[in-house]
Amino acid sequence: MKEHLSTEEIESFLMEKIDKKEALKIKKHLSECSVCMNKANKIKDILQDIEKCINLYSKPEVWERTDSTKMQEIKNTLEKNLRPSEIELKKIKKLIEQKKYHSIITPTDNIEPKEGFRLAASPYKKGFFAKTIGIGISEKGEGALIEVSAWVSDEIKEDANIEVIAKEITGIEEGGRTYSIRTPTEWLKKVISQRFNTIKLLKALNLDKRDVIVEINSPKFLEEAQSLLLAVIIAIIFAATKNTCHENIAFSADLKPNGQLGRVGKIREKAIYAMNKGIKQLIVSKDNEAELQNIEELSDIQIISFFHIDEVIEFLKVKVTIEESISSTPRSTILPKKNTLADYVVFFVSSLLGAIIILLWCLLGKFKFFILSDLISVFNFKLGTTNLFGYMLIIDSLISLFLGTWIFNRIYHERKFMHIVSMIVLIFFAANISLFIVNFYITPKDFERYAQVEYLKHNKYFGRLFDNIPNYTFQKFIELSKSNSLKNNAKAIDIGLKISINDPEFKTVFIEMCILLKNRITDTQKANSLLQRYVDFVAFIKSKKNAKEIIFDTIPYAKSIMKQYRLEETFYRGRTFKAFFESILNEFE
Amino acid sequence: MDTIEDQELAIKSFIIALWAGGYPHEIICFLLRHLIVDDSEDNHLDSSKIEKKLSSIPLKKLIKTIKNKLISQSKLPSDIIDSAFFKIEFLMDVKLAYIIKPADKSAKNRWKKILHKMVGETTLQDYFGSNPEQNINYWAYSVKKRIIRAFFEGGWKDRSLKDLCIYLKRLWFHELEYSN
Repeated sequence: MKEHLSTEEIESFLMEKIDKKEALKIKKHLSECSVCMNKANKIKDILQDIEKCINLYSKPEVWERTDSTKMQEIKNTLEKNLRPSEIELKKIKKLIEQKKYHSIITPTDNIEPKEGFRLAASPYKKGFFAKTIGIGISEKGEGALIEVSAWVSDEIKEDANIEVIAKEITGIEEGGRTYSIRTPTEWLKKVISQRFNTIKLLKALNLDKRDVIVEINSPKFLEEAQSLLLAVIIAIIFAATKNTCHENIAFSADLKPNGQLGRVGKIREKAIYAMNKGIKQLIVSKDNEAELQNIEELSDIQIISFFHIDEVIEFLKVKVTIEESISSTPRSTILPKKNTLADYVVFFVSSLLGAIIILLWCLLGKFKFFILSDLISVFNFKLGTTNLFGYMLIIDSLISLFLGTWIFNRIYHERKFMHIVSMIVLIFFAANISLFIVNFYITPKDFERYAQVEYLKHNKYFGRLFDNIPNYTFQKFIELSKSNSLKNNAKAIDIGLKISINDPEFKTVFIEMCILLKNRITDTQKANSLLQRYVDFVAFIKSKKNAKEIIFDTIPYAKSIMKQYRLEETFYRGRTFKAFFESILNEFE
Repeated sequence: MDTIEDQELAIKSFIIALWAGGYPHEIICFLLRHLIVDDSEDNHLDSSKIEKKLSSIPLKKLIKTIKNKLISQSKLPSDIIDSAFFKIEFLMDVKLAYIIKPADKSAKNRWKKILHKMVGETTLQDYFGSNPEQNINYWAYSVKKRIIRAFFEGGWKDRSLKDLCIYLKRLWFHELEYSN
């Protein structure tokens, strides 16, 4: 038996509202316990008084005998102190007008929060769970600490699911009609899913690809869950990062799509309630900060306001090792696992786009005087390879593949316009760097040498490459070519080349002659061809200004070639070379 | 008994019953069971009679009848009766959903069909469970118990009537602010 009887028990006993067995027990206790007996006696007296009072109402003579002065006094007391004044009556009516005239319908079947979160989250799945505390204040001012538990799966999958479990209202009833409403759990599911895709931190944790279960343990039925959103998301982050939240921290803030903390209502009441319940730190939005300043009652709680969820995570010292979290999940999630035909088309187009952009840059960039094939040819020549163009194509393809993939992911999975712009900038930057390297490596001299070789091999003309080479005098060429030094002869060749470029009509003769001289060639056929051209050349310039000078300067070379290859008696245009030289010399002498 | 102190105590218990006795239908049952005398039998009404005769009458009408009956029966000044009945009469024009006490969690489910109705439009029948007579007795007993509690725990037997009036009015404001 209990130490003392409660007032309820004594009242029930005295008013005979309990069964006989229980009455006997109480009677026995009362006989043994003087404290309870005293209490019972007092209640008995009151009960008797009430009984008598009640009886007075059926005795009109009692009231008729009453002293009229005293009765007037009672009347005035009631009038003055019990009946509301006009002002109070207005206040009462105002309070009623402000009330919501709807009733809250709770589920008819008893839905109680499940015992133990591990049971709510499937025990067959691998994951981690964490808890945080939120605060709820009803419109009536009743507070509640709400325990939010979150479980996050380790498994990454495309069809991940979010489940929210809570004891909540299911609709409202007004005017005899029942209206269904979007329940807090439905709202939470939608908002959590949205935040997973818009907040950087949550995205980095791949939460949109992991099963998440949230259980809200509220002592009351949830009507809305906006101010719980931060507590829910923090619990999910803790679970995803395998951290544990301190039990003396509570959260009360909304969470916007960009990660900023949003203002919530009744924050003052929530803070006071949390403090009374032993919470040491309350995390709120910066928007609520002003409302919580200079409140003397909040002496035992630290209010910490933040602007962004990242700051909250930093403050909580959550070991959010994002790298670890990501590395623990397959990297392959960057690319969609199941590609559709449309995915491939976009992938191909975006790859091609990267290649086209680089090509356009090459064509329209600062090397406006060359085309890509020239550049590649010279590059091949310098490196001594013939397949560089192929290598470049491979490199270009790889770059395009990478960039294309990136663009594809940005467009198809995030649909962010700014990412496309940044990608284009990046492509231009990459192209610029690669061409800068090429430009640095290949000099105009490389083009010169390439031009020489190409000319000799294939008789190709690269004149357009040398527009900016300074003019050399013809006289200089003559001097050097007359020299007995092979080194000077080689210089003459260089000059001859440049001159021939400035004046294409001379090019073949000079170049071929100089090459023959330089290399001391022994090819009779080539020597013959050279002399034939020289004959044509002389015939061509004979009537021109300075013809005599040019002929007298060059004829010794031609004659020496003729003698060297024994071509004196070789006929060309109806006469021998020997006869030709003699007639020329006679003519100009 | 019959002294002026007893009369004051009777008025105290009367206004406690009417202002802090519980839901209007409970107070009505208390008044019918303990204060009103049945003219035909010169005795208080029993629960079966209340159920049979009065359970289908709207509470607004019922409370008006009780008030008039009490004035005529007790010869108590009507001003006092008016003051005592002020709150319950006022509540007749308020929706039931609004007067439900915050601590009464099951009431919303129990009365969900009449929650949108004005209290004065409801009848005792609307509140009955499976055993109406037992309900009536229990409601009357509950009110009585609350009066005892007010005297025992609140000490209102020895405290002034003025203080009691102020307390009851404040209690009402509190209910208004924090009820659903």
